[in-house]
Amino acid sequence: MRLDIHAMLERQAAWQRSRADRPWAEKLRECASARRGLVSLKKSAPTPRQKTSDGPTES
Amino acid sequence: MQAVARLLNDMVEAGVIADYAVVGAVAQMRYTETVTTLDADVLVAVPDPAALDLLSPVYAFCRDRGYEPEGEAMRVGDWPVQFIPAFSHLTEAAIRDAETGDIDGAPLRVVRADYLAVIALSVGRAKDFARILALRESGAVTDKEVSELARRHDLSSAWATFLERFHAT
Repeated sequence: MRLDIHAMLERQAAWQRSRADRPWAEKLRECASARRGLVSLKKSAPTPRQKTSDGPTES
Repeated sequence: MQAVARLLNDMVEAGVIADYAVVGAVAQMRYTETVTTLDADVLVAVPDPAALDLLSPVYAFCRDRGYEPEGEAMRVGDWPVQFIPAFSHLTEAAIRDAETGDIDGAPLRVVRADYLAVIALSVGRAKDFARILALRESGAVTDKEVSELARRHDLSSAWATFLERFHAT
């Protein structure tokens, strides 16, 4: 079991190293692009419906 | 990020700041895979650390260049930029020992990976521990380098706790 965990961690580290080798500027552009996408998604999300008069009203 | 690099280098040239180094997630991405972040954190060394409002000249310089504040940051192109005056011996040393990276031909000072790990260790939030793990996994730092720098900044105990917590020995 412990060997499996070590193998998994090794695979993760190898993946991390392969992804880390790309140019810094390229990774920063990717990050900025992802952030723009997130902002856009947030803007397009539906706003919560306003509660209508479904309870007793004061008179 | 090229606009940010130009702005920061111009600030140094104009004497508004003595030196700078990007830190946080933007710095991390020099050494690891891409991560998400809302802004770019920049450590700055100011010429007059005794001044009451350390960042006023920085903000004035940005406004003169047409950049506008956005919350606690200044919006520079795609990036909200947070300026953080060096606040400890560790962050002062991180600026002093920073390396120069390249952003499409523009030089950009960046905190070294070992400093990035030890600054994260000193802050100690979950995302900071994740940063240390990513830096180790990418091979950007060795445990020996982090251990040595942590020792110099009285963080040996925090480093030992980290290693124990993440079964990283």
